[in-house]
Amino acid sequence: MTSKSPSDFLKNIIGKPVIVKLTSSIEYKGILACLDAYMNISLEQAEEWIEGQFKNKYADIFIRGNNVFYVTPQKKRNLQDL
Amino acid sequence: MSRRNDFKSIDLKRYFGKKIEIKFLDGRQIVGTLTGFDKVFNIVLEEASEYSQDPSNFFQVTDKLVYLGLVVCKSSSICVIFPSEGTEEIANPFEKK
Amino acid sequence: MDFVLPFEIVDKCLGSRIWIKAQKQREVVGTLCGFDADLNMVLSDVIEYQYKIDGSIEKTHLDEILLNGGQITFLVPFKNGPDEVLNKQINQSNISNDVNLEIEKEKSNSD
Repeated sequence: MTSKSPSDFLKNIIGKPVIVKLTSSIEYKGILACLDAYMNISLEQAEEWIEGQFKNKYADIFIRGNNVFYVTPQKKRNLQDL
Repeated sequence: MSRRNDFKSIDLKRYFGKKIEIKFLDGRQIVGTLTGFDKVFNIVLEEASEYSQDPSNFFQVTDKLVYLGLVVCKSSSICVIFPSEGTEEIANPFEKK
Repeated sequence: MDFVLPFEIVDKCLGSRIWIKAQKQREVVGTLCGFDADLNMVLSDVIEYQYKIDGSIEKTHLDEILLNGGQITFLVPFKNGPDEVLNKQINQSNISNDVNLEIEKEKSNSD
């Protein structure tokens, strides 16, 4: 079992589409531009989803780290779906 | 400086191997046998059980215990630590009758 | 009984299932892939449970997540989440019933 530290994980997902879930259950889906040790996150082309409903779209968004619950890479869409 | 280091407000070693209860900032409460801790008071409990929470008010714990086993508590979310034996709940003395 | 350090246990749990109780009635179960000093955790094959005020539970399945350590209340290593605990309790109550039945049988036999 090779351990995969949080920093390795982040290196892998920078520049890729991610979902950021906040403690308030709001989700932001966008491309991970950059982040730091406090988990402050900036996303590009971000979509705001509240309880599964699309609310808003931002070209650039900054999220303060203390509100973040988790970060997960968005599932790759199959070519057939596009 | 040394005096400051000598002074310990919480001497957890006294409770090693004894049953303690921990209340957390989010209202959860667990009871278990203290088997380890570190210098920032992350705490290890064995044979731990959690008091299940009232679903309508999560800050109210019920008497029902859910067995968990080995548990690691994160220091930053711990609110209160107290020994489980030798304490009992009393009626609120300030409540007006 | 030996004295154990909290991080020792988390380290031993690498590659195993871990059940995390987080703030705001959230619970996360996943396979621990890595962690750091703040207990930020990389988990794979994750189920997230959100307990609602009306008593319902919202379950979400996720492939891989980075969980913020600041949201964690406590960890239950080597456990597969609330379902496992509930099943176990049901089984245990069955077992104790069986034992009681056997004792009763023995009693009636001896009588």
